[in-house]
Amino acid sequence: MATMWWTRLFATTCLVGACACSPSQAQPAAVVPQAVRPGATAAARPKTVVDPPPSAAALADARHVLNRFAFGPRPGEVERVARGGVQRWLDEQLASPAESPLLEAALVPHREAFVPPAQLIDDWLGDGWEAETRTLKELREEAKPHYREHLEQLATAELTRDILSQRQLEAVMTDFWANHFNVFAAKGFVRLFEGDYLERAIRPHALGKFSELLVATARHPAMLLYLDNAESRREPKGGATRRRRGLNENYARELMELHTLGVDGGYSQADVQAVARILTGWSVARINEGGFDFVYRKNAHDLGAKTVLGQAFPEGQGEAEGLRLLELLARHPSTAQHLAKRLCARFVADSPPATCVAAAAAAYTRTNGDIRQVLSAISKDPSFWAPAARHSKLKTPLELMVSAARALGAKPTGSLALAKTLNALGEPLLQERVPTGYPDSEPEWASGGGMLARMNFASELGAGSVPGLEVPWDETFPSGAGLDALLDRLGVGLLGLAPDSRTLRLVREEVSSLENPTHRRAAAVALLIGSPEFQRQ
Amino acid sequence: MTDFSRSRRAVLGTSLLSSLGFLLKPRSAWADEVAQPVEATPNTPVLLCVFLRGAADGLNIVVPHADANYYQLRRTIAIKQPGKNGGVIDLDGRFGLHPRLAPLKAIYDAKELALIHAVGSPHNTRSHFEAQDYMETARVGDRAATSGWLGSYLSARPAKAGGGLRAVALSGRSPLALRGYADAIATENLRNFRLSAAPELAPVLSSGFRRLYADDAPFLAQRAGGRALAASDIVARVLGRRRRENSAYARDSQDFADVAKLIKANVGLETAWLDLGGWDSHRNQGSAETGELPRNLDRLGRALAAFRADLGPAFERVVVVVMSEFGRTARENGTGGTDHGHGNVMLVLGGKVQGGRVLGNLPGLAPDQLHQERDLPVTTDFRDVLAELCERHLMLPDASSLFPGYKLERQRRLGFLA
Repeated sequence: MATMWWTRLFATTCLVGACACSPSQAQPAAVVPQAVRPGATAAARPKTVVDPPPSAAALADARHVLNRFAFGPRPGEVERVARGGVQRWLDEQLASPAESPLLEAALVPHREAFVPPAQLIDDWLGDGWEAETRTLKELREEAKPHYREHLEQLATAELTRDILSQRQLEAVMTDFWANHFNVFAAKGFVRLFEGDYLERAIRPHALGKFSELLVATARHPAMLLYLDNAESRREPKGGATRRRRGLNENYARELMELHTLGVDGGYSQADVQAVARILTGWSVARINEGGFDFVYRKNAHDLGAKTVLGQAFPEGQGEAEGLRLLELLARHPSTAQHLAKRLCARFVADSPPATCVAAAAAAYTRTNGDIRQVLSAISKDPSFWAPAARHSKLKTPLELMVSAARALGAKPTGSLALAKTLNALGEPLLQERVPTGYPDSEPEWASGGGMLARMNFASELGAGSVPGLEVPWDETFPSGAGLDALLDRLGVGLLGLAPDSRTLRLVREEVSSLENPTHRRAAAVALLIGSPEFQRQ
Repeated sequence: MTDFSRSRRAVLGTSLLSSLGFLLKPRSAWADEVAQPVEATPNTPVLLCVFLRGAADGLNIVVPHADANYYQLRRTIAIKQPGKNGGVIDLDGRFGLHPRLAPLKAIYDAKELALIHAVGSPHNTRSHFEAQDYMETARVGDRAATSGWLGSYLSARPAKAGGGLRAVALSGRSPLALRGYADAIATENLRNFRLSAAPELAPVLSSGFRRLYADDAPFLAQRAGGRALAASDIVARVLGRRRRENSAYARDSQDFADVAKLIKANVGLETAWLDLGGWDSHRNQGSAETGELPRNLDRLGRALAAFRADLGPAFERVVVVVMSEFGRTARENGTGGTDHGHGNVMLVLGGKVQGGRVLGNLPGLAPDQLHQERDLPVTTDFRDVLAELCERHLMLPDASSLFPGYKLERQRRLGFLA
């Protein structure tokens, strides 16, 4: 049904694309799939001075890859990737290309977002604050006036990166993992550590080894505070009291349910308690201990024997048994399955195709959790290229906002209002309260209020009045160039709509009543960015 | 964001022009629907579900203060006995309300509030999302279910009244409970539930978006957008343009005020859904005064009392049910909080509720009376409560169809509705 609908709208481009790609579905998994993809053949051709324009199928492939492995195409990018070949673009992205100088400059006003917490506090409270402040709680109170702006800095910096970064896949995966290992920035003291968490726990491992990412999150104060492990201690004899604290199983459960094995991953309540006991002592340093860093508290650690998933953890073991536990979880087949499902849901379809999940899980197991190899396996799976997968996913509000900015070649101005725009769309960055993170499926995001918010955002963007975003109209869509040029570049080129599609016809009809060319451009951009098609990827 | 006067003008422009536009050139099916005058429907029953996301600690909401085990299990977070400073508000000598729920005491005394203890889902999961899903689909154990019990109810039954707005959820995203009914609208804030654009563009954008989203495509998001555009005219008309108006409600309870306004406006509302977050109290949940739970209960108690007072005689046709995915451990954990448990408490309020009672069966809190020696057991299935609401309030002849695989039995009726 979905295929027919798109066939109708994407009459020429998509139909050709679908036919050209269908052979890849028939190929056994062992065949290297790029041989059957049109983009790859284009790449193999020797370069000439005047290249013929890429085929409709190659353009459709490029659009698909840029919508999933990047936050959508910037002007001219679809053609560029179609010419160079999608495989080459993917390989470059997997190898983390050099970063854009444009981004470095745009991040300068947000430098504060990622400074380590100790320095952040020095900057806010001035040197010598230690003399008067003894507990983290006191410190939290003193730092309060700075929190809101700090979180806006951080969200604006992340959005700026998503919009401008050349390392699009790293940006996409940073968003994925930050959500997978969600921490709620506004909980207590977590906000002070959130920038550090993103910059030093998530981003460096976004395309690395899952086991290292897992350890980095497990030992980071943001996670230790968010899921309460920082306070969890071996249960005192006779039970905990106000003075003698004890066990808290919050992190232990989410570690297995959400971060690794998955809810059906085969763990029991006894495993949850054993994991909590193994991780007792993993905490955050108090101020008189230097503050702000991971600390292992020997006297809080439960030295008793434990059993997790049938594996014995003998008595008398200290910090090392926590690392052994994380390695056990990272290597577990349930973790391979769980992560494969989540990644395929993100990159392929809300209900991930079984072949893709199997390929991703196999790559995970084979490479001991090498995230690059897992992503590569997904990109090579025929189900990724199948017509049913294309345009099948609803963009999240973050994906909508960033892809719209990219489509117009917009640049963040440095204003923190950028973060608030995303809040209004319903996905305030780093502020999802529950450990599950934001959902990644259409039924959740397709709320009436959410859809109206998207239309309103598009209207503001068309009018050039989204605070914090500057659209270089004269470079990309000069109003003198006329409506046809705009509909062609944005509607046909970026969205892949057929020139005679209902949507383009309708937009043309509606805006033609406006006489002022700037108004006409604003309305056309608003309707296209707010259109049902642009909500999909 | 933008300059206030501009955006206010923009909103004004949009809604005026769009409703005018409708009368002049109705272009889609929705347009015709919306242009019709709203029928007065003062007798439509309304069900409001308030879902406490994160597993609220029922033992500190409706406190079994006569059970000595309660004080043994909760050394730092127990609510003191009635009569003591910060003590529970006694209801029947056995149970009492958390002191921050004091505003509900008058409703209980008026017999408009019933409390059901040791209620929940028979599934043993302690996962938030899994337990919430089962409570919202009411298909316990079926992970493949994609529609909710309210959605099934709404899609199976014709509208009880004209007006076009049968289901509203005040929730950032679309709650699973309402899925299956495509016309349900979900929005974080009803006051933003409208198109807004610069005045010079508003007529074109309003007409353009309505046409773009009118196509009955197989994609949920497109249908949701189309429905939202139609419903936004009704919402805008009822709520007007002020950000906040009913001062009987605190600033943090405007969602309840907006639901009350929709109920009183007779726009055909049958079901409303409200999500309240922040109940996952693993640490420092507090006792009577300070902490996460007292703060949340304070908001809930004030909001429900204001809602009841605001509705006046209309409360006769309204039932509110307050629920959460599971309860928390009977014993407090090592960090002044509670971990994920099992059985919990549910609240049912309404003008025709036969309340003033604590229903259900809480056996006691001795170790052998607890579920897996740690949690409140489930002695009443949450579907017994929902079925009674559907049959006795929404007047569904037989609720079995909403709860496939679950056998409803007359003798298990709790009797909070006649």
